[in-house]
Amino acid sequence: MIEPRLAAFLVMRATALALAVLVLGHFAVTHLVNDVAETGSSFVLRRWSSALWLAWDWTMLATALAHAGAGIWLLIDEQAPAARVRRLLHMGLAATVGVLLAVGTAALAVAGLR
Amino acid sequence: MSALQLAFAVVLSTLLAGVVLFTVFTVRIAVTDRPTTARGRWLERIGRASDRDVQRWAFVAHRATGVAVFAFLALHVFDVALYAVSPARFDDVHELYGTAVMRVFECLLLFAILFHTLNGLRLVLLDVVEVRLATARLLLHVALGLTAVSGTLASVVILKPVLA
Repeated sequence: MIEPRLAAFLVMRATALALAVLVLGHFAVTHLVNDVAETGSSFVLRRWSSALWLAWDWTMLATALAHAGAGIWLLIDEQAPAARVRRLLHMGLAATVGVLLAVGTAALAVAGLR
Repeated sequence: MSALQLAFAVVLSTLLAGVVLFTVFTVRIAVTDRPTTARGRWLERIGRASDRDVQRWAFVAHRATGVAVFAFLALHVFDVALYAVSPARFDDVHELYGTAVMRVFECLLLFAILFHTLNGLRLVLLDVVEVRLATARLLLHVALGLTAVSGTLASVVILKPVLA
């Protein structure tokens, strides 16, 4: 079995390149190509009527959460003072990431099927 | 201001305060854990960056920007999810994104994302290719330069509508 710290590093490295494209692309579309004031519900309606953008957004969400989850897991592992605190924080992190993935996936599913 | 807008503003402010606290916490650890530096109050040690410490500051900045971007992501998932509940409610909160204050925040967020991305690509490269310390430092300066230039240019575009 791979050591958990190494696994976390591998997850971060594996997702880094994809995120560079997905996140900078997302920011460019919502703030530079379009002005942010014009990205209201009519913009979202147009964007999410395309399967490609739904796939982009879900991939970005899942990849970002994997990357951030691994990064913060390491951060807690290194900076939490005691084993008990560390376990609690790790559990809190897992719950947070799980909730964000569930909420984001549900939102995309509901809006995509509407 | 509607209740939803107020909730968004309160959560965002709380997250920002948390990010600032975390940054101070991380900087303190980085400074006080440094065995190469003479003893003294942690604030006094900040300016004395030796060659090795440059990489260390990059590490601290990488962590701080990573936590900052994740904090915003956590809020952003919810404000976008409002669209699935009701497009009108989504628009209500989304209106805030066009305000001058939020546009300044968006610029800061972009600088954080740019630094984290460019320095992150440097870290991936350093994992793959064996380079000398001087080269690694040069790459860090390239990442910082690109962050400053592209971040400033994009900030002009983002702020233009409210600078009239």
